[in-house]
Amino acid sequence: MTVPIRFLLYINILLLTITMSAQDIDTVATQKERLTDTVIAVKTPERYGLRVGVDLSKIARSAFDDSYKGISVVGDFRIKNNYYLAAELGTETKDAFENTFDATIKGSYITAGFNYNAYENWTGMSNLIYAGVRAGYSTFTTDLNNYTIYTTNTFFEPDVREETLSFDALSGAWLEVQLGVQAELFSNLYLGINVQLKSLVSQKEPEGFGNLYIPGFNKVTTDNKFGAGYGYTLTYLIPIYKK
Amino acid sequence: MLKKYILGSLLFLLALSACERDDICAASTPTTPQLVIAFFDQDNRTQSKPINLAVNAVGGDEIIRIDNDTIIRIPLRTDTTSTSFIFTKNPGIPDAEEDPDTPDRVTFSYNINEVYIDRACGFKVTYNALTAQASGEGDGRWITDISINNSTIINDSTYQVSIIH
Repeated sequence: MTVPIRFLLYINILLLTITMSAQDIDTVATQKERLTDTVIAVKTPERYGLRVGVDLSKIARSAFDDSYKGISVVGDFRIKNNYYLAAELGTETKDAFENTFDATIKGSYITAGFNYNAYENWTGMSNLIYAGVRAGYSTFTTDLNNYTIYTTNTFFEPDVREETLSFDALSGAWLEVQLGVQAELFSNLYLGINVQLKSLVSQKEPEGFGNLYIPGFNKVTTDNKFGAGYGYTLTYLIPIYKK
Repeated sequence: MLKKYILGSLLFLLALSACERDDICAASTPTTPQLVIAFFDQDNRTQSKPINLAVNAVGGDEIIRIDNDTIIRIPLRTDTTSTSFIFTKNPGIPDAEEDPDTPDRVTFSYNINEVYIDRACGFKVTYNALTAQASGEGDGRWITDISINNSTIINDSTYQVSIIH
């Protein structure tokens, strides 16, 4: 990871530890309430609606990282008290600088799935600590910009090929588990942070070459099908009804 | 309880997401193979005959040497379909019993195939349809015969060309 991204990461962890500080008080408080309160509890209506926003980490990375340009739109829709439909749409352009070759990957992706909110909110509050699953799919192209033939001796001068080779109609599909937090800042505006663990299900590889990076899935490793990612989201809840 | 588990994992995995393994091309991974030549006796063509040899590419400076050995490994060019070498037998030994300091020219012609290995190693080249031709160099000529054992070169574990001298 490059230095600016590590900087972002430390800020994220700092913010997370601050928002985590008030977690344990609620269990004791609600127990006490149940023992002393004899009035029938009135259920405060929960807000249901469509939450939409952007992934700030990708915007920041596009500004700091010369080899990356990307943006994604995230959203979720509450269907039951603790269950949400969730999706993400994004496009990315990534320059991969490897030992003996350079390539540029350009494409877009979509992930869709469900989130389960494990956090019991205080009355009137609406925060999430959630676990989610997603299915993801990406279509992309890879341009091999230049490459050097690998030899174990220096008898001849290095054979550098500079003609760009383009590989189109590549794709990848994966399953993803997401863990995250969404905190309501004020009136329907949420700040979220999440980590993603991905498992590549299938990929269409370029002929005579390989996939280095799949938008949405990130780096494709040679010997295993797992990948990872993270997100830092700012979303707005468009309220539709209350239940 | 679940939410604490999620929070803990979230922090842990966030910290881990900076990890990236260094991709290095392992020395055991087969890459562009070299040409392997074995030397045999002209009086008994199945008998290996050791040789003192210096090999340089025509127009090149670097020399590959073997001293009293029966096998030599030399690279072939990956950017064109033929490579010419000067093979000097008994180099710098003017009082050798046979062929003292004698050069000979050998030209190898072949097809090139580019093969992608992986992201760490990149691309290698394999060769096929190999042919070899020995032609004199100056007034020297020590190679009695040159023959192709295997016209496809994908690894350098066994010899593909034999030279009789």
